[in-house]
Amino acid sequence: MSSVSLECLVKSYGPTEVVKGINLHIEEGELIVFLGPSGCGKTTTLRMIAGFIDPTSGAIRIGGEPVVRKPPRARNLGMVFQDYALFPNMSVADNVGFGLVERGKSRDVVHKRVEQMLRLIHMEALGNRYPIELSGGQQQRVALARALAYEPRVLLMDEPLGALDQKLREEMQREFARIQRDVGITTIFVTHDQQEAMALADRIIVMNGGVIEQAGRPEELYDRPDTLFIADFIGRSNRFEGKVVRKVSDLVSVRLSGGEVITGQSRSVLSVGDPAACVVRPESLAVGATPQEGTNAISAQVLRRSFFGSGINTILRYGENLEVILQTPKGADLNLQEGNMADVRFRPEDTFCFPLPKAGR
Amino acid sequence: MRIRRAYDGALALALAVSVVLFIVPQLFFVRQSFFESLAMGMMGDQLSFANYATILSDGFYIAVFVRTIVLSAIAALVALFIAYPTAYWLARLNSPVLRWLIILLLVSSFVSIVVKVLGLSMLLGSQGPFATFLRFVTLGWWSGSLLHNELAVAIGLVQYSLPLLIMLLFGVVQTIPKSLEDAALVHGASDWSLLRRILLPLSLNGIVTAGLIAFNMNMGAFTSAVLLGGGNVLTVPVVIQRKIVLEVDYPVASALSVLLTTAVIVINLLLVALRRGGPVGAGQGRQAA
Repeated sequence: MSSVSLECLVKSYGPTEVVKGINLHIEEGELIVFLGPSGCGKTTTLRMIAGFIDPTSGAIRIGGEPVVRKPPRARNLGMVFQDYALFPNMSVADNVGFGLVERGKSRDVVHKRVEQMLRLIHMEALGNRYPIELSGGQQQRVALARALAYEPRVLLMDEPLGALDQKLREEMQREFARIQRDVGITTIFVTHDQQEAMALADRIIVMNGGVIEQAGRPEELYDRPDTLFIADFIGRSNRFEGKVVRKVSDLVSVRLSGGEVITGQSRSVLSVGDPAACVVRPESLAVGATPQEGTNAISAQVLRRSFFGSGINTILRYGENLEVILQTPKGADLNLQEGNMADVRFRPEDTFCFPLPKAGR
Repeated sequence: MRIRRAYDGALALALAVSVVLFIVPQLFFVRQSFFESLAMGMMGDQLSFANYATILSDGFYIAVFVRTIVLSAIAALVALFIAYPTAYWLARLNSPVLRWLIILLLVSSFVSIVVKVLGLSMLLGSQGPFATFLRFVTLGWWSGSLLHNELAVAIGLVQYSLPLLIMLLFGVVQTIPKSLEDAALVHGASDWSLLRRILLPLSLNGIVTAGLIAFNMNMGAFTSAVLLGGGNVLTVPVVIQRKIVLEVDYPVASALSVLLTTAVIVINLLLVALRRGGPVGAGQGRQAA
């Protein structure tokens, strides 16, 4: 188990910079998730840590030791691949023991350790099977056992659950979280699925366009997004655009197209007259008749309601064509009629305002 | 169903062509091989095993067969050794150049064997660079040609089968996902164990197939053996040609042909049978378990 440090890590292919200077320290035993849309540089970063890609500049330290010029085999890492990459010509047991055999361990040691790993993934009875005979979830567990068998310093996972269906995916997330906690290994997990990232991560590193947009615990990213991209990308949110009309310390007021002025928090540089976008989570919206002091309020038309198990989404239309989603727990009776107008209220503490680029969009 | 029947019809045509152009002449050969040979292209009218007895009891013919098989096998092995790394390199080449290299390979395999062999005979002949170099190094003590021996024929056979083998093995390596190599390397494999434990087992079926194809081509190769062997390297096809053209001995030539075909088929079946009992390749897990 080791810490991992990335220092000013850059990767460019010709004139295109894919990773643009990443600085990150990962503590021993931490479970880090690189999250971002495809092409954001997360997989490139992971493959640089693994040693498959040489960085253009910058340093990678594993347990304090610089590894950049070292081949993958000399880095002592475990890795799970998106397509599992199990060796089809070897049995499950031989797959799991692969790294141990390569490290010159005796037959006895390999055998014992393989049994131990198969117990860990609850597949004791399947050691003699071949990968082709296993289900997707089983193959994934074998890939994990193979990567952990020789006690690597760091575990790398490249979208490992991408090929599984939703239910199995969630099951594997729980299974994986259990194993990671049991083993306590430093883990870097790459995914584009923000729910998966939220479910697993000690810390999420959101990447976009080759840089880190924000790094933090899942709740931090959800409750206090640093940028509009994060607010959009993590969880669902409603977005109101307008022009800044007032700014008092880190509270800004924005006039919307319908004339309403809403107030929200802003940690970005915003001055009066700037175009701005304010985002509010669906569960932070409420509908009520009595206006309260200092609460944002807009008037919107109820379009439809949809039930999703643990709650109800109400979709409203604000202005010409902006859809607003309001999420309420199942029992709450809002007494809303489709087609009626409703007053939607939300607190400035739950509203986050960001600058919008002046041109475009 | 109608489409299915149309396909069956097309197959029937292909079958008819094969029967007329391949199987019928072969049967003709087989029949001819059982007649006694009289001189001057005349044949007896009694069926007998005399031709086979002559061939199988004559050290000359046995040596010709052994030479042909050994030469074909060595040339096939050498071609495999050259073709596999090349095919691997091509399959992993992530570049637009790949297209052009494949086209080049394809074009080179279309070049007539006579042209290829002529090129080689210039290269290996007494005025060629290798001979000149050897004369220079030995201060004129060695003066000769590298042509007209087994080595020259083997080089010719390797050269002829190489483009085809590279293309066959290119397809084989392409079926091995790159992530398997990444997985092997990250889990600690050396390049040697990557080759021995992953790449070779997963390409074994393809390697055996490609090797057999090269071997079969070599067994029947006539042009390389005649032009590069220059009459010093007598292989079965060369001897068959002599029997027909020089000695007008159709029955013995036929018997030699039948024996050559039989030898090729037996060797192929033997290798395939050996493969069955051997280690498994990709996708063969079930059979082995």
